[in-house]
Amino acid sequence: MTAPLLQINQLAKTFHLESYQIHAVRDFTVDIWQGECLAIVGESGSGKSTVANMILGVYPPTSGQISFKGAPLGARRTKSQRRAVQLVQQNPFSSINPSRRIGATLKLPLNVHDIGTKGERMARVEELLGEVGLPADYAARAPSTLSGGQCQRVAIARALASQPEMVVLDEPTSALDVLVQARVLILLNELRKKRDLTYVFITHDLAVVRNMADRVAVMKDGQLVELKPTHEIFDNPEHDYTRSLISASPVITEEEREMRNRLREGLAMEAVQ
Amino acid sequence: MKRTVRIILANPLSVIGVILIGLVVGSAILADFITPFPTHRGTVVDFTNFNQPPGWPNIMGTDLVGRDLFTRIIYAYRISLILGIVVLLLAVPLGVTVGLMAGYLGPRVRFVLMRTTEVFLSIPPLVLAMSIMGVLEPTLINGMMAVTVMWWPWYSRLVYNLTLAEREEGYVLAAEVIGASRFHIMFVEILPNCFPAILTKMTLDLGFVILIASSLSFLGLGVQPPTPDLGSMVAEGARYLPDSWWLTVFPGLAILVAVFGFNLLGDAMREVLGTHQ
Amino acid sequence: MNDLTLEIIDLSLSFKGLMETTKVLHDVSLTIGQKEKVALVGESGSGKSVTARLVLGLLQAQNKTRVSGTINFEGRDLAWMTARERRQLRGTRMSMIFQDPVSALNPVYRIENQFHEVLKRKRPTVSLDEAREESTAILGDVNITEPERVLKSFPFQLSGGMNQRVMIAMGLINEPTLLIADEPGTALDVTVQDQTLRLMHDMVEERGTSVFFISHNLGVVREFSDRLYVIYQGRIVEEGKTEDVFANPKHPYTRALLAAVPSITSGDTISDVINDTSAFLAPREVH
Repeated sequence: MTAPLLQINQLAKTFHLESYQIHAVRDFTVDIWQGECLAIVGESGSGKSTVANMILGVYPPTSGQISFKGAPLGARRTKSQRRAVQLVQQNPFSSINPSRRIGATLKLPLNVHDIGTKGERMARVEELLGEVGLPADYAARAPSTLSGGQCQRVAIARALASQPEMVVLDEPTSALDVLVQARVLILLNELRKKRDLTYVFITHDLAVVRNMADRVAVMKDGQLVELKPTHEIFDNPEHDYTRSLISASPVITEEEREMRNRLREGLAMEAVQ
Repeated sequence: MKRTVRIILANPLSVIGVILIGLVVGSAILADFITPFPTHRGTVVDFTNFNQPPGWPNIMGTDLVGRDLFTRIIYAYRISLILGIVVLLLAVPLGVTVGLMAGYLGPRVRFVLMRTTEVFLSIPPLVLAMSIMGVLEPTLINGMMAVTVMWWPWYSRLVYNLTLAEREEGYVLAAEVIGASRFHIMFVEILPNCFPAILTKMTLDLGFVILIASSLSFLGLGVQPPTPDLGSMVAEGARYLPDSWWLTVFPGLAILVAVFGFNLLGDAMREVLGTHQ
Repeated sequence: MNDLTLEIIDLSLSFKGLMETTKVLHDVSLTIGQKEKVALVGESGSGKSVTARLVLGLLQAQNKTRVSGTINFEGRDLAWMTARERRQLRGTRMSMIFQDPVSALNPVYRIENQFHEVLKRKRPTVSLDEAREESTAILGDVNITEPERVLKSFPFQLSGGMNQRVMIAMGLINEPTLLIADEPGTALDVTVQDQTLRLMHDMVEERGTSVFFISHNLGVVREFSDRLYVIYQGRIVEEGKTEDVFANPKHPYTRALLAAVPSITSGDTISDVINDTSAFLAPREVH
């Protein structure tokens, strides 16, 4: 068997504030395999975003190590290391620079990583727009004329521009309306198949996880509490926290309500014991 | 464009500002054509017609050597505007660069740059400019230098605060993850988002630069005769109050119109560009 | 003559911009009976929040808005009330719970002083001691075990879930007949949101308060409301009992919405979304 694409080994991050320190992530170990979608699930303060930022090299870990294709990632990333791991953020309006045209935003990764000749880059931008389902003439548009869903598509196109192997999706649809969310999720699934991408999907929404992820890592207070294939985590959640997360998800169908009520009863029984 | 016009028309004060500044700038540019005695901006002496009260053809009267006051005020506007624009062209890029670097490049750079900025900000502007002018020769160029030295820190502080807010935006993180250079992030990503606030402040400041420059020349530290200057005209005329009132009143009013006009225009810019603070 | 708590008839709203006038509500009609929990569901920009603001009487006085239609609160037309009368209703007969409890509470006052202010809206002469006593009782009802500590605290010293419970208590302490809840708990974690919604549900059941529940989250609405209205681009497109609408959605928009929600029981639910939105403007469906 081949080695994992990304190995995270005993990762820890401590933030030092003026009078105290926060252990945002503790002893976090996981292997991420080429082509899979790993969801990291947790509530605010669980450390899931801190893990994402360390994968991206926004700040270095306090201890532990991240290796990409067997090579450890240092505090200063090389260009090719940066190119290989890209990001889609939660807020589509904030992540696209409001004072630059869409074309300029999409050209940045091409310029930074010297992809194609200068003449080819405009054509590449139009191709990227097409790939995320936007017309080519959007390159000349200002971000303020785009909807939230369209901005998020631009953000996805930008992440793909440098031809990365892994994309960190940090709550990519939680700022969007349900219909828009569904379309963006479908797009993300298509792109993953087409480009053989590896996703790290950071989210608090378990229904989205069920529809996107191959494996799920549940985090609480900076620690990994459960790591399993997606269907197992839903069929047989072991940790109490995982169960309470699933049972707290707002649901619609009768089938979902039954599942939730079963979990709630189980939790209540344990509480009594 | 259409939106801009509507916003300005919606507020009478904005309309007044646009008109005042239109008149000031227009007359300064067209001074050679609209002033009755263009030669009077220099050393012309006409003792047959000196110290005349407002009348015809000298609608604002004449000065102590018989030059038309209206002509000299229009030419003084020209000097003031040139001075104001040159000062801002020097002070703004310097202040903006310092502010961007202090806001983006980490705590050590921030410490050095912002402490320096604060030192300059803590000295009363006029005192600073006066001491510079005291050491240097009082010429137009040195006057500009002196005002520039006291002006840039305001821009570095403005841009520093804007940068602190902008660097938290997602697009900055996105550029960092892509691997863009720090120069690119500061000047291509962050700076354009600061433009509206900078432009608004520049418009407001043009009036104040003219005021400060006039104050300097009022004290005899600015533009030297025979170049017409509003501040020195007021100073000179003040000795002949109240009899020859027009010598001070008209140049004084001229300063007021410019400062007031640029303030109103600045407020209008604020509405158009949406930079309420 | 009628015993409806809230009755909205043909409500329309336009915002006058610099360039043009935008119509954000088109003849919205809805009713909320006594003790009834009614939800208004829609996506962002659908007009659900401005409807709540109109009911609170917060938009009528602005000169950039044009309002037509009728809002009857307990049989009285809001349009015939003075701004002062409308202000007196808020916080007494009708109260509101916001999306983000931390920003809705004033950070510079202790919780007990904020309770005091709320109580003074109904009884101007109430003393701080009386306020403390009543607040302690109602904080117990929202399962806060140390009411004394909470009352002495500032909002930022409490967790998001705790603040949300304080908001619920504050919203109900004057025994309003109508509680307007605008996306309550959306800013909170799912487990906390779930707890606070169940708590709010129990509280209003007990007191017989009518609820106008504004939300984008279909799952939450299903859990909470008796009846619901679906709003799309300022128009009500479907209305009915909650279970009827979920069991048998009739309007194309409601169907599309329901189909787009990912399911936690099977991993393959969001495969086809309707991209053609023209059908969404079809006429209103009533159950």
